[in-house]
Amino acid sequence: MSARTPWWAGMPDAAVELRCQGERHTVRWHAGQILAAAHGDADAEAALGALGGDPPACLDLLARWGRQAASVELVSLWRRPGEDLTGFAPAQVRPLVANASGPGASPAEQRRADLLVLLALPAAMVDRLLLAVLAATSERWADDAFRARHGLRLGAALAARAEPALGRFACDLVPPGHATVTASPAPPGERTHITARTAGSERIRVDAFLGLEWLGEVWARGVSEVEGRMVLAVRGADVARHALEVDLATWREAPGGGWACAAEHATIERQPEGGWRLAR
Amino acid sequence: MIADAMTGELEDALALRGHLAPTAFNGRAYPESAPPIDARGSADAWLEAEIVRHLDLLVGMPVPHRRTAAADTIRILRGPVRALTAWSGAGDAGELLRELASSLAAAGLAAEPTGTPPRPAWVRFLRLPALAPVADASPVVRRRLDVPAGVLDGSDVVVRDVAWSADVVEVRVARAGAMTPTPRRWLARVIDPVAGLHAGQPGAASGTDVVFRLRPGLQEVAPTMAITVVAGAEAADVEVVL
Repeated sequence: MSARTPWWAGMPDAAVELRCQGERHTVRWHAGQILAAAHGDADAEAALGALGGDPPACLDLLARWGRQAASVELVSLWRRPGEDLTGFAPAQVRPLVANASGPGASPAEQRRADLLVLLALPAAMVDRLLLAVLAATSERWADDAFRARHGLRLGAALAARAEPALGRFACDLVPPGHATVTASPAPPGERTHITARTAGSERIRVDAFLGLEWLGEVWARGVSEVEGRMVLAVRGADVARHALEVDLATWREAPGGGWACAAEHATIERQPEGGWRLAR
Repeated sequence: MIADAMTGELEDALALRGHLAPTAFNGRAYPESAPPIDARGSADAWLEAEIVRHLDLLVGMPVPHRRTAAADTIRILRGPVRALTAWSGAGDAGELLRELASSLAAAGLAAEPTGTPPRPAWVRFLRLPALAPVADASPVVRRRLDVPAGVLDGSDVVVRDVAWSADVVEVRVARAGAMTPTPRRWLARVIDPVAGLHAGQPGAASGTDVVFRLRPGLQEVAPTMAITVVAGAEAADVEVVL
């Protein structure tokens, strides 16, 4: 994410209703934070809960969210591109976590219970959790040990999500089906870099190195392509206007032959009926 | 270890999509280790074992549900295949996945055949009617074999015997000198020239023996059987004459 735009900017709120202390409470995701509005001093209540007894359901959810908000495995588990996944049903999960969340639970049992509960939230909430995970992974991408452990998974996730848009972007140069596209995460500190060159008669090869933040900043916001234009990065957000400042991909002929991708600044606006359009 | 973790994650993905019971959800963290699998050939062994495991899940489903589940199978397996291809640097771990996609298409479960030919044994297996679990099935014919199949998890593996009925094929494998009471994720499959592929979930372990119970069963005796046992990313193969 660019320094001036928080990773959550422009994302609509999401919420879940829970049965908590005999009442219906709402836990809400807002501006990158998960909030239990019915619990004024959540920290104090959590501290009291730690002394004994079951914690309020809202605070239990906040704790689980906090523990798993950097779980990279969620990138592979949750929805794949084009998939309409709703997750577990809460009733399925309840008996599985009943005895796996107390102080006697092992870290592995606790983690399994956390993920079961979180993956039973409404899909919009899990989408926001994934956004948090993606933001955390972008921040840690410069860490060699982190890349050694999760680089293949994140590279595969990036390729799966970016290659369809890159394939359509390549259609600005050749007819559909005439481009071989590979997408990989750009090394730490390097900028997005996309090139194309001829590969035999009537075919081209496109090599894309995208910043890992593309996943959270662009794909997770649902703005990978707007009106047929591929979005490379989000540079700013105007929350009041439901608008994002973005870089669109465009081809330029490269001096040494082939083509290189350049960024073209644009503003896109969320439409009331959903979807995004270029601002006129 | 890494192969086990990848298998566990595939189980989690299947559980989240309703193809396995939620109780199958592992939720384990990925281990802190670099390469996913220690050799390219091992990657193929792991992937082929996983594909057969997914085929077994597919034929356990009612026929109308298989098409949706087949799309999930391709989606779920694509992640590790991309990772393995990127890791290997050269080569293409996607060839097995394309073979699976073509086989699914040939069996009428996917709309997008690939340029890769389907595997006849997989297509035939996928065309089976919904198979009942083999928990209650008992083999009625047993053949003693005692043939070495290779080394898995540091133990010499011997196929003790195979047994079958119309509902199940049972393979009993012994691990010489094995210390662990239960092997890590071992999978087995059998291909015979009469019925084709027999696949199943990991079987029960007792002492040094592991018993795999595979579907479909055998209606008539097969002249030979190719038996493959996979542990993580290691594979042991043997062809036996019955």
